[in-house]
Amino acid sequence: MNEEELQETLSLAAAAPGGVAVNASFLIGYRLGGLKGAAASASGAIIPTCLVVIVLFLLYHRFSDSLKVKGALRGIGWGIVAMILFTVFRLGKASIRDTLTLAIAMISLILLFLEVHPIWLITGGAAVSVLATLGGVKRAKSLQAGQSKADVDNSYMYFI
Amino acid sequence: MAGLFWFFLQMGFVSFGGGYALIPLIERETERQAWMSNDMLVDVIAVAGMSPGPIAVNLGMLVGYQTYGVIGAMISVLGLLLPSMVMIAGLIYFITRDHKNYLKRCMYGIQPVVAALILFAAYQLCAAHLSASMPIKEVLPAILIVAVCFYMLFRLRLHPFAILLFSGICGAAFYA
Repeated sequence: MNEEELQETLSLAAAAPGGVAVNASFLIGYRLGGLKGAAASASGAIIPTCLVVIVLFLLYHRFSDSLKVKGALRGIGWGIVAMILFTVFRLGKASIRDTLTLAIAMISLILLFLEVHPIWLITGGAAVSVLATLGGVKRAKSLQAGQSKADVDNSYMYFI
Repeated sequence: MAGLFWFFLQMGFVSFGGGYALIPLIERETERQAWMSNDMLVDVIAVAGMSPGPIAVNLGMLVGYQTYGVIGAMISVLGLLLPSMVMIAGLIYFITRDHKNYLKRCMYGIQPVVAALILFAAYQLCAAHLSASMPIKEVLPAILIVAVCFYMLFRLRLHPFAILLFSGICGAAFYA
């Protein structure tokens, strides 16, 4: 697979719901070996993860009485908050490009606090942007602009 | 068990952006169905986050494992992944015929929503960790850990593993 194909695959993987890493492995498998390849590489990506998760969970059960372990887990909880904030920062920078996208993000945030279900927000965001870009040439430009920003360092994507 | 599968199947459809946004939804449902105690859930989120792979899938797996053992884990992972697989297959079909760039237009509007979703997840996670009665000597290390980790990611571009290591050691030092 060449660089360009890989980049295209990664952005498609990020566009679909689900983990980027799992989606990408599914897509790469599909390109190389059809449906069988997709099934093979997706399960290849998932099974080691499952084992690690279950082993860590069993370790947690074994040692959850230890104060040090409890403390370390609380610390890691905050580390995860930092990683999430970093993801928001990266994604926000790539996706908020003009007043329309800024408005969509703000309104979504407000609606989330009002306990609106995310599926409505996602559908609404998609509908608004399709409608808003129906005739505009100017918008078409801003669609292009954000494409190249996302490809700096993707290693953190392995964790999301 | 059917309820478990159905819940995670729904989650699979909205897990745009890698699944951080699912954490508060899974939390709410876990509380409602009493799959796990709240205390344990906070620990389990840390376990899910320190494992490789998407945090939502890991969290779903552990919730499933806790409720119905290995079968439960398999059921919830299947539920979470099935929608993405179907949608990717659909996207591959669609993108080759997408002359009017509908996909890009949708993503243009979906991405800011996802950014808001993930920010909200961060807020909810903070809210779950913090409580009003928490002494200041427990809040300060938390702020310190978040600030230093963010700096490590943003400026030093360190690997997430370094973040987990650092925050784990800090946690063991400050909270034990």
